[in-house]
This record gives sequence, structure tokens and C-alpha cells, in this order.
Amino acid sequence: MPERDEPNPLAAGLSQSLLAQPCSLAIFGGSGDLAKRKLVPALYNLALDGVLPANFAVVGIGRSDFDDETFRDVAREGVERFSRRRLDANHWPDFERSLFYHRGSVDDPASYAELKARLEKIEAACGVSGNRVFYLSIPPDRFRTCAEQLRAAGLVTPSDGPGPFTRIIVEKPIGHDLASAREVNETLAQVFDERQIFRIDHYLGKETVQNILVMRFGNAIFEPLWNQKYIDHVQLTVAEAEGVGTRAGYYEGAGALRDMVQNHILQLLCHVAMEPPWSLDPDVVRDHKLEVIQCLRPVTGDDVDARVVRAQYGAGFHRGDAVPGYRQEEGVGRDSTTETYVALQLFIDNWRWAGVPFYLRTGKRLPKRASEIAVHFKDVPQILFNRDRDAPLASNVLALRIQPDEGLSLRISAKLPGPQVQVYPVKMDFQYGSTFGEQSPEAYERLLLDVMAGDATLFMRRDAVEASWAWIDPILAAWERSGARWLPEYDAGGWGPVEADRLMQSSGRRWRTL
Amino acid sequence: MSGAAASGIALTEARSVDLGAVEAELARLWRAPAADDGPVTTRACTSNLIAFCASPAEAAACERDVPEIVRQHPARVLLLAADAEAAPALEASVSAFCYPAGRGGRFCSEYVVLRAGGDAVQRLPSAVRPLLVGDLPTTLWWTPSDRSPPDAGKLFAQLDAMADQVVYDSRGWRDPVDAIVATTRWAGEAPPAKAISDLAWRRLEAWRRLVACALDPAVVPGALGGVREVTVEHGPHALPKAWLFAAWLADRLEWRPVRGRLTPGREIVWGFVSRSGPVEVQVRRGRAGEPEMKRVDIRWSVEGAEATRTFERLGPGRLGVAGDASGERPAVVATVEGSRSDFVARALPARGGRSLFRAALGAARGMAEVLER
Repeated sequence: MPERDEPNPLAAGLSQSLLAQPCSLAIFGGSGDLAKRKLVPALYNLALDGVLPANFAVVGIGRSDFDDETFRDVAREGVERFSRRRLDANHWPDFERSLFYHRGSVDDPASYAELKARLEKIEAACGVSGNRVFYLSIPPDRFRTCAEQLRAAGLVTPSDGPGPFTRIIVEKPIGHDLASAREVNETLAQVFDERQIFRIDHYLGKETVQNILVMRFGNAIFEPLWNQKYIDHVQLTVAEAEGVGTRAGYYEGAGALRDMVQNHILQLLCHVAMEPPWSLDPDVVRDHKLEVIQCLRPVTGDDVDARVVRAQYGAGFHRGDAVPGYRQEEGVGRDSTTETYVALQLFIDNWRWAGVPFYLRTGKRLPKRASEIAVHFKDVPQILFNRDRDAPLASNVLALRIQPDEGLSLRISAKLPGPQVQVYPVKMDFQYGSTFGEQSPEAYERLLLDVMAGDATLFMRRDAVEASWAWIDPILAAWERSGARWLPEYDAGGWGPVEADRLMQSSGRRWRTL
Repeated sequence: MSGAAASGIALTEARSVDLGAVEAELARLWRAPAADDGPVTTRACTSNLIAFCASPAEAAACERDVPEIVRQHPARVLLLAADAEAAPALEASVSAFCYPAGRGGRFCSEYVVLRAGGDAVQRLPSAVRPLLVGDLPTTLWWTPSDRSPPDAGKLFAQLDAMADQVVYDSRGWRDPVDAIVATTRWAGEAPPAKAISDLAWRRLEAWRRLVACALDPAVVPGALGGVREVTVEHGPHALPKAWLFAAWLADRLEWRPVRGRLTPGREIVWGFVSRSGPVEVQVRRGRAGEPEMKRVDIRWSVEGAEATRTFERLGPGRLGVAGDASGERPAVVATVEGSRSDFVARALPARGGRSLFRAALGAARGMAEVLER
């Protein structure tokens, strides 16, 4: 009897390591902003690249009074406005034919039965043999209802059966602390096997984040230096120029630590600090990333004040325009103590990183949007060219720019031309844009393709999510206990509060200017 | 600037120089001060690209392609414009292709044209060697497409020896059978680290992807092991591409060729033996149309039940696949067809897939060896 899970010898050597399998993608929240701005344009670009499966359908699900035609019009508008490539009139009709809309409510059991009937009809017409991906672009408090109703309607197949697959994609936030994250995960686990759950963190789909591992493990020169013997400290910065904007409703209950550090930044940290995985198998890579989180030295009690700085942006100027402070933003409480900035000093207690401080900072209303990992190497001995203690040589810095101007630079010391020995820091720079020319795919393109191909490498596993929260929780608890009624302020358009500078200065270091 | 050579790309004024002064002229290009209000210029170079053209017409076509290639993959381009009918002389000109970068700057790629006439064509390798930027990969783009590269003898061998990668296009080979044998022999002797890229193979990727997806065991269990018959229809000058496609199937599905019959200008029929029985492959030439594969029918049998998938080129950039199940609408996928320059640009950074292509070439040679002509 032929098996469905036999290897496909024809797949070898194709430009993606795995083939996206014929499937339908059902998007809960299909009439929402994420679908329009990100998901549909990502799918369209995948279609233009010829990597979507031939037998494929997208079904948007929402309460909006759309029909297929309205959904296609909205999708077209989304592609025209947000796609990295222009709408191609030759190809749009083929793509558009695979778009459908089903009107229904997440809370209404009847609409799941209707959805099932609609999916079966669409799949028969499109030649999809029952493989389904459900994308939950809905508030996390609806995950339970949605997952349970999917199961009740017979829309979930077992992960280890011979039949078609069912996969589910959930967006962050996965909980707001360890207990709630466990609850969300447990809810999903009641219905889906862990192998069917894809927790998306779009940061991990960025080319430059994926390049961190290539740079570390695809070059011979870095890895021997990548440890406490040669590295003085590491700085991770994720700076946003925007204020809270229209997200105050969500952000007030989250703050920078939950919104950025618990997921994006800790994942970046894992890429920088993980041990070499012995294969690129998704679980091997994720095991090694998990180890980093498990080795994080807990920040508890008095340590929280000493090693964590939180702050809120006050009124200021952004690119010459006056902007309000956080508490003056629409939807934000006038007595809000939600942090819009956080800086941390942390340690990874393993052999490789013993004693090396990692400094993380993220904030809103900083001077510009910029994400960077800067590895600061130890100084050369204070002899020869570095003997002047009043003017020490600048240390070598390897900076990995995540966005914008993706690339990396290395600061080295060089001799200024002339008869005297004068040493000056110069920067060797590699820019993705100028070297490889073509635009990088959007993160969602890669991630959606991976789900269709069943590759979970770039998705957060349950244990990693919960380990991250377990590390974050004591900080949140200490803040809760402190009962602070105000937070340090920093001027909008500045690089953060003076307290964050002191966090570095106490050890003779300083934040990089981006 | 002498004008736009392609959208957003401009060629600086070309300066004729002695061969020995090419590097100095290039250096002068980068030292020249920019106008006060001019853009900041960055020299961009990730590899050497030697483009060999055997005639003025080929050189003109190549010159049209180079701007787009360097926009996608910045390189020092050494365009070798040979003309065996011209007077024996070797001349050089130097310029740069510049294209806009962010923040008002621009990136420029060096462009050296070496024109050789008569006997001087054979001296081209000696002119190229000192102009390669050290420590960067070198690609030889062999543009003559009527014959296989090894047919050019010593000239190709000398240029090949400088290259980490050779790019050629088998579309248009006049005698595909002999060309495949010659190319396979050369590829077999090439060092394993050398990358060999046939643009016809690259154009096949969309077909390969579609067939691999549509016949994936998760979609139609057992189909790949039960293939009984394959029919490939192609337009004029696309026989090498169709042959490579059949060879890829044969290699990946472990079919052994046992016989072949060639009817010149019309069709080739091969008989293979697979693990599950005989397989027949027919490659048929259409009388007119584009030099592309037009249609592929794959019929298989699993436990006595037969099924067929039909793959068809529906137009530029569109491939369709249809099964024989009733009620299922044909699916259409977009394909990246692109221009010749797109395919060359994509070939330049490619490092993977060599063994797969070489294996397909090996299978193609096996198919040539069983042909009765």
C-alpha cells in the first residue's frame, strides 16, 4: 500500500528545502488589518515566486458582511498598498480565483459547521485533498472557543494519522504571564498536537535574523571568538520611532517587557547565544534555543531594581514635530504605569557566556526605528598601540543590523596614513541591499510557506514560550509589588532615560549610538 | 553619463584604453571627485563575470543584458566581444554601470569590454587573467548557444580554467545529441567544486516544482513509483530542455534507459526500466511556437488504478495542472520566467543544486547512448 509520508525524490534541489503541500488556508479575522496588510500580500508574493502549491485556497473568515468578490477587492487593495511587489495584472486573476470569504463568528458553533461545508466545496473545486491551515488572527481570549469549535465541527485531523494534515497558526501574545501562557497552551493542546501548532513571531522570519546563524556557523572566523574569553559584552537594541498609536488598548495591559522582550528580543538573544545545533532539524534547533533561556540567571528581588530599568516617554519632539507623552496619548490612563521603555542587564550562566553581560533595550518614541545586535570584543592589552590610558583604542565591535539597512559591520583599528603611528577606528560594512540587490522577502512570506511545508524551525515551541515567561514573571512581580505610581520619563525622540545610561556606566560601558 | 542603459541604470562614458592601462583607468574612475551636488558613489563588486560572445550580434545582445545582471548581482564584468571575421586586433574600453541606491547614493559596477578580431580572439584569455579581482568568485558566461561550450576547444578550456562557475544555455543547440554527450564528458571531468549552470535547466525549475508538488506522495500516494508513461511536447529549439526534464525524472525516479529511437525533427521515444516495470517517455517537437516546453502528460498506475496529470504552459509566466478527476478545476500557478539576464543574475550567487544537475546530465548522457539514429 503506498504511503503518504514516503519521501519525494523530485523535491530534491528545489529552491525551498521543503515543498508547500496543497492545502487551504483559513484565516479567522480574514477581514481584519493583518490579513489585508500582511497575510494576503505575503501569499501574493509567494504566488508570484511560483512557490505556492498549485492546488491552494485562501478562505477569509470574519463577521464583516463580505462575499467572495468583496474579499477579493479588499485583498487587491491590500496588495496594491502593502505588497513589496506591484500587482501584476497578468497574474492577479489566477491568484484571485483562490480567494474566498466565509461570513461567520468565532463564537457561533453553527458557523463552524457551515465553514466545514464551505471548505469541502472549495477544496473539491481547487483539488485540495483536505490539508488545512487555520490562522487565528483573533484576540487570544478567543483561542479556546475557536480551537474547541474547530474540533467539535470535525475540522481537526489527528497529527499522526494517515489522512490530511491540520495545522494552526497563533499570533503573539501567548499569554500575559506564565500562568496565562500555560492556559493558552493547554487550551490548544487539548485540541492540537504540539506538532500541529505554529506560534508565529514575525521577527524570526526576517532574513537578517536567519542570517545570524549563517554568520555564526557558516564562517570559520567568528565561532572561535564567540565566548567569554574574547567577548566583553553584547548589546541588543530594538528601537521604535513610533509612539503607541492606535494600540493603546492592547499596550496598556502589556508594556515593553511583555510586548517585545518576552518574545522578539529573547528569541534574538537565543540566536546570538545558542550552542551550535548538530542539525537543522526543527526540534534540534529549538532545543538549543531553549537551553539559552534555561540558562538565564533569574532576575528577582532587589536584582530587579539593579538590573532592570523601565520608563515612559514624555512629551518631546520627533523629527522636529512636537509629540505627546505616553500618558497624554489617546486611550492611555493619565496615571498609567505601563513601561514604554525597558533596559536590562542579564547573564547566561553557562560555560560559554559566564560573566559576559548582555544588555537589552527596547522602547517606543526613540529617535529612529532600528534593531541591532552589537558584539563588543575585549580590549587589546594596554601595550604597544593601546598604551595611552587616556585614549584607549576603541574595541572591536561586530554589529548585526536587523533593520533597517540590513547587514553587518565590523569596527577595527587602522593606522592613519603618515609618518606617525596614529590609530583610528574604521568600519568594514556589508549591506544586504547593495550586495544582493533584490528585495528580501517579507517575514510572513517565509513563515507562511514554512507552515505549508510543515517546517517549524522558525516557530516558538511551547516549552520555550513558557520558559521565557518563567524568566520574565519575577520582574513583573517585583514591579507589581513596588506599587510605583510613576515611572522615570524620557523625552520622546531621545535614546531613553538616564537610568538606562547608568545601568551601563556602572561597569564603564555605554550604549551604542545607532 | 551617456544615457540610461536600462531602467534606473546608467552607463558612464566608456574610455578606450591600452590593455595594460585598464586597472589604472578603473582606479581613476573611483578617484574622480563627485560634483558637489552629485550622488555618493559606492563601488559594488561581489564577483567577476566573464561574458564571452562569439559575434558582434551576440555582443550587442549581451550588452543589453549586463545592466540588469549587475543590478541584481554586482560584479566586475569583463565582456569579451570576439569577431573572427574582423581584423586581428585587441582593444579595451572601460566604464561603469551605476544604479540608484537609497539616500540619494548610487552603486556602480565596473564594466570592461575587450574586443578581439581574427587571430587575436585566441589571446583573450591572456587579457582576462590579470583583470580578475582576486579572492572573489569568477563566473564564465558562455553566450554562444548554437553549440555546446566544449565545442569551442582551447579558447573555452582556457577561460573555463579561470572560472569557479560556467553558465551556458543549451536552448538552441543545433545537434542536441552530440552536444549533450560533449557537455556531459566535460562536466564529468570538471572538479567537483566547479558549478555548472545551464540556463535551460534553470528555466525548468517551475516545471520541476509543479510536477514535484502535484505528484507528491502526500497528494497522490504511489504515483511516483508507478509512472508508466510520460509525454513531453515542446516547441522548436527546446529539445535540450525537454531532454533534461526527462533525464531529471529518470535520475530521480531511478529509471534505467534500455532503448531509444530518434525520428529527426519529430520525436524521440525512450524505453526505461523502473523498479515497478517499464516506462515509456516520448518527447515530441511541435512545428511552431516558442522555444519552450508546452505540455507534459504523466500517466501512472497504482494497484491497478490508472491516473494522469497534465501540466501545460498556458502562456508567459503561467503553468497549469489538471487531473482526470471530474469536477476539479485546473490549477494555475505563476512561474518565474524572466529574461535571460534574470536567469544569469540568479545563477551567479547559486552554490547549491550542482549534484542534482550533474546527475540529470549523467542521465541525459545515458539516454543519448541508447539512441538508435
